[in-house]
Amino acid sequence: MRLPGDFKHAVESVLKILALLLFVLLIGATPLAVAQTTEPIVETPQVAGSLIRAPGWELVHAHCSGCHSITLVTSQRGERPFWKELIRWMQRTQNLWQFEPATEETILNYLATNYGAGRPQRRAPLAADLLPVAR
Amino acid sequence: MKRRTLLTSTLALGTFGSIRPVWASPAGVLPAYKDDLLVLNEKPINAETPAHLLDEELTSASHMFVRNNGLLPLSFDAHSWQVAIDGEACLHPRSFSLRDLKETFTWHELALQLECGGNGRSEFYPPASGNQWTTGAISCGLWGGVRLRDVLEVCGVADKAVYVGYYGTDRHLSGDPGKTVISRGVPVAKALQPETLLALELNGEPIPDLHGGPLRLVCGGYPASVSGKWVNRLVIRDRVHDGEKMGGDSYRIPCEAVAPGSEVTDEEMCIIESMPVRSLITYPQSGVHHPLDQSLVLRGHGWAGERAVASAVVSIDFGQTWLPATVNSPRNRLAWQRIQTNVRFKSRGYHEVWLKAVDDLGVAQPMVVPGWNPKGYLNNACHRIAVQVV
Repeated sequence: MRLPGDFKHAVESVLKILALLLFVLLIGATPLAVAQTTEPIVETPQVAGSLIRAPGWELVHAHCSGCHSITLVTSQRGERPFWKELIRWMQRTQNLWQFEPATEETILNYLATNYGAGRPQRRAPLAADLLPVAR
Repeated sequence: MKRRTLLTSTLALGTFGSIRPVWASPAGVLPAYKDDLLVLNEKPINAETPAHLLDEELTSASHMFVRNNGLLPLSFDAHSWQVAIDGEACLHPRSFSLRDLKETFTWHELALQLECGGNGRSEFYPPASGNQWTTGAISCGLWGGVRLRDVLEVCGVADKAVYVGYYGTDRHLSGDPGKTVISRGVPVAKALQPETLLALELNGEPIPDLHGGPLRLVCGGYPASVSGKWVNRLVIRDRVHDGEKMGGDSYRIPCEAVAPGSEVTDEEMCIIESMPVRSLITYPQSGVHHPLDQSLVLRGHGWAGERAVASAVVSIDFGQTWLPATVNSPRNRLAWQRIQTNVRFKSRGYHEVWLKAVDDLGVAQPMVVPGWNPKGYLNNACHRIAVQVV
């Protein structure tokens, strides 16, 4: 039996906070250093991947970060059918659970709105990090 | 994007029973020696190499791209490692330890190019799902090991053999131990090529954990997903191997070209074999400032899957005119080839240098993104770098 995503996430969060506490006790680090070094490990909403903060992002984080990184979500682009098929594929083959219709609607709206396909290009300009920096 | 491993915090977390390699924390996705790579995905770990870090003749482990479909194995122990050979078309199934392999078979060292089938995926429109590789899912390391052919022949390859598939010890993302992460393979003819290795070493050292150690397949020139990592079983099949990621749209493209965005059924998809001709400018780094009065040295590599690169040209005017470059012979078949030349600019300002390689059958890299396919494979469009002439 699979735990509901939100509950599972809550349990994981508690475990991670316990781990953080143990870490502080063991290492005796300053609060500043702890904040800096453990930030990516303790996935509080403030640092949970880099999902765009728009309606529905909490649901996407709860359901999509169990198996893979949030980066795998934020690095994709596609219209609604693209995201729906990805979800169906994960449900068919990757052990993703079924969503309540309202949950799925929220997730699909969020993804199609915030991570849409963008504009057609046969070849884009070189990426910003590959361009000369003005001197 | 630099990631620094924070060993202590990860170990502290590990005391809560999560068994994982020390670099698997989000803070230090990669081991420190691979800090210069661009992380595309933290779980599963995927990272590509910036073009200018691929300038070495042989790719060092620190600059080798990382591709995973699942979680890393729990053990990389060379002393206890066994690889079983069986399958419908295997006459004498048996297992080998790594010591058996070294003592029984002749040792070979070959420079072999490995390129991810999805290298360049980020440029397709409509976008394709998966890791958004740009140009850096290519390497050419010096692989040491035994010929797969020698091993298979001892085990007996029946006349009915069609394919050789692999299984490895990586773990499914869902945590389901019953699920295979990836189990691909190659046609028997490719398995029996003298360059196809069951490798134990990379650049004279045991293969790093992250790159498939202690034992992996290396089938240069094919999508790198056929070069299975952490291999513990090989199957000589009497049919096309039907393991995980052999069907559907995984590592397959439409048998007949389709318009961008088309729906393609499974029956209309064909397995990718040889990768297409491609090249990279590895020196200078894109974005360089260069004085107008000096010629610019350009250096790179070209490769062409199962074929060789026959020639290469560069353009400094967006493809309007092309200048010849020198192409060296490969160190051995299926190794990449050094490309170099000098160019002189006629004016100051923003320029791009484009490099186009041509294979030994006269097939050249396209200047725009080639044929769309559902998963965004085989984008071999010519590499471009920016140069500010001052």
